[in-house]
Amino acid sequence: MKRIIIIIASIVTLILTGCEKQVKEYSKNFFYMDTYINIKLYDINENEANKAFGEIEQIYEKYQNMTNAYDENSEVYKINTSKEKKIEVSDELLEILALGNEWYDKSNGLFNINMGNLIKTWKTAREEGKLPKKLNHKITKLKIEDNYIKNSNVNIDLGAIAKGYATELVGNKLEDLGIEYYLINAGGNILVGKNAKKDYYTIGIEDPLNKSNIYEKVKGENISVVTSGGYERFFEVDNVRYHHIIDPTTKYPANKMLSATVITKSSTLADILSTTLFLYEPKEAIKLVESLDGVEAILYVDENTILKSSGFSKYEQE
Amino acid sequence: MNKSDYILIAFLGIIIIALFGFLKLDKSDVNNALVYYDNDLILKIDLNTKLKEYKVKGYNGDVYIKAGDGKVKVVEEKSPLHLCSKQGYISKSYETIVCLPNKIVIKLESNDDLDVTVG
Repeated sequence: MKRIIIIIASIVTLILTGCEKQVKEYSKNFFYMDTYINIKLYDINENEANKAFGEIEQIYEKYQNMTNAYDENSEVYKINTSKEKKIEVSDELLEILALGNEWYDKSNGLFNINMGNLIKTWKTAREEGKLPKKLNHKITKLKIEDNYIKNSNVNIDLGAIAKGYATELVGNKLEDLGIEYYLINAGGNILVGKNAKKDYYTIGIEDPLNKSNIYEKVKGENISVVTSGGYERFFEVDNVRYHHIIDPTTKYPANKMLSATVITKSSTLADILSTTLFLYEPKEAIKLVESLDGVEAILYVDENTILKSSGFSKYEQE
Repeated sequence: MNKSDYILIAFLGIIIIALFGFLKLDKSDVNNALVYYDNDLILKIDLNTKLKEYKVKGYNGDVYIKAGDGKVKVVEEKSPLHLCSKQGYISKSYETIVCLPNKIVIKLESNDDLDVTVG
């Protein structure tokens, strides 16, 4: 009799534990960096969650206030409008600028954090629904020496890096706090830690031609996934679509592909690279990815062409 | 094994089957639209009903939502670009409507395998 009860009890336990583990989830939304940010934390108590949310908010707020080129109080705005010949930069901002310049070199100037005026022209065009009249912007690399910027033409825009950078700092902060199980969705910049319920997270990549479809699912833990595409922020003139990712060589929105998605550990790198790849010829973009360690990418070139880097399949969901 | 053992086995068997049934039921598509203001869930709409209009308070004023028949959209809101009312209906679990200026987020509740989407 006892044996039967034990067997049955074991079966019941098996059934119950065989299902997805029930783990308490703490979820909070933030609105920073022109984006809706959702953070989910697991396997901690309420006090730990509240403490972490406070710290996370401080990071996003700080980097928003530092990097927003349209906010008169931000460091970037002050630098952009400075009349000095040598403009001093804080160590924290310098780190982002140096990364931007590193990728300027690596991408032969396609990734450029010093083309804010051109981006602003297109932003205004988008808001007014009219094509820009003149695109005679001079585009140069940011000149950094020690803690100073030495250009006469400073127009920094960190839209392609700041969110990824701040998100990476948030991930580091969570690890420091001993929080291993988390999911950060900063407006398409995804950074995940471990999954407390399963062995991995499943991340759906939206179809750029129909946002309500998912064209690829990837799975993984401790990774960042970032997509750049021209289908979120755009306007149309005479049935031609003009989006927000501008190619410095043509000064027009890039049209080499419809979306570029990068998977790698660092959310800063994923952010930088998704924009960079979007500006490349698709085959060159894949070559660039193949030359980098620990980076994979999938490019939605057009309706009939999807390119993947050679190691991408390890993230693919059967 | 005597008669009471068989009764017990049958009884526990029924419990197990019921448990299975309950868990399966719990896994079915719920399909609610969850409307958040900032961090607060302010409205939960059962989408398995007829299309109806709802009104919630956003940061810039009232936000009008149409929901039912398995879909939901924002009809009207006060914002510079009206991005979220231009978005139209969403009906898949991973779709979200974000009205940034109004701090309103609409998510669909479901039990599919996706944790998050990117795009």
